[in-house]
Amino acid sequence: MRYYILVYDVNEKRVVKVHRLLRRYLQWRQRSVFEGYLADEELGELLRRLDSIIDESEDSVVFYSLPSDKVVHSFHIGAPPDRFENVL
Amino acid sequence: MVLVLRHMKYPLFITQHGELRRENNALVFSGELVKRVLPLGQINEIHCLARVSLTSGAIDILSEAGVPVHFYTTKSDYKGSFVNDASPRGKLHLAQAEHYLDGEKRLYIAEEIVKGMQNTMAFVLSRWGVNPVKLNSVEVSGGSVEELMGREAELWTHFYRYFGEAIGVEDFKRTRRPPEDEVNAMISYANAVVYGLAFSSAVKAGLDPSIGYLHSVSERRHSLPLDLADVFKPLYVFTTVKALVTEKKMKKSDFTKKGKAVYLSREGKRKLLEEEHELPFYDGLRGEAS
Repeated sequence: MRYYILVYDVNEKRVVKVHRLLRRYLQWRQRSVFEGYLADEELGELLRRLDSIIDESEDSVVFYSLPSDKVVHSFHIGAPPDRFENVL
Repeated sequence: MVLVLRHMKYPLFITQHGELRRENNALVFSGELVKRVLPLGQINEIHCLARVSLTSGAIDILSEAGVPVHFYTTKSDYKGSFVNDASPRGKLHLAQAEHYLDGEKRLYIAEEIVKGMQNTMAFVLSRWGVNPVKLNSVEVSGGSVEELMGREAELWTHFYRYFGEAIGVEDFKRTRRPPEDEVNAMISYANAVVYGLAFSSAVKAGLDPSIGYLHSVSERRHSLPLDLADVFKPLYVFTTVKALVTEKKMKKSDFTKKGKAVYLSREGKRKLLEEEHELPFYDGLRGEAS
């Protein structure tokens, strides 16, 4: 299992579809940024599903992979990004 | 004893009434206060500590993802679970029962459980800067499970004394059913949550939760999670409660009183669960699990 930061640049026509797929797997951080842990088989499944939605000639999704969320320190200016809440 | 109660993924706690359902193929919680899409990939189990109903669409998604859902009464007693448990585990369950029926094997496991409790107690106290001499001097061994239960009670007596000193309460007394003060209300609630986590871990490991070793098999309660929860209580429950007390994070309105009994209010429950999630070693353990 690794921690992924995922950013995407997708044509407007498909952006809702991509967003809806990603939010099932990962925590939404900002408009086109998701984060979270994925097991290898989850990553594979996500890649296959993404592949069937995007148009390779104009869309791109970048995965940054990290061993854990502890190795990356982030800070922000402006409104804070969405945090994963595990207590509702 | 390896401390891996949780993995990278988080347990999700729901403390408001609402419904889990499917929307656009995603699991959505819509409650009294918030509506959230739940990133199921990031969640390993769901604990419903309020009245939450599941639609059949939600059950589809949850069973496909293999995420169990546990239900508690609003007073936080365990009610039951939805678990997609399709694979037969006959051999494992027979072996588990054999270890209960064989006195020597049962005693060995029960002893390891009590030793585990003693270790986590000592670990937690040393983190608080307390030297747990009396606790460490308890010899954990016995000729029978009853004798071990006696050692366990002895350990808790020492631990409660040290805990009382750490939070500045003289003569701290544990009361339950019902808890009679704020500190006891927090302990009771957090204990129930740790019981739920232990139950979930046991089920996911494929074990029969009704067969425990230190606690005897009974008709009323699952004894395996009772065994397991005790090992983790010092770590999860008492560190959380101590932090909430010494940092004065709880307000009057976080509790409700009913006669002699004191319970947490909805906001109080949320605060406690969030504090538990913020524990420094909570992240540490998740890191070690990788």
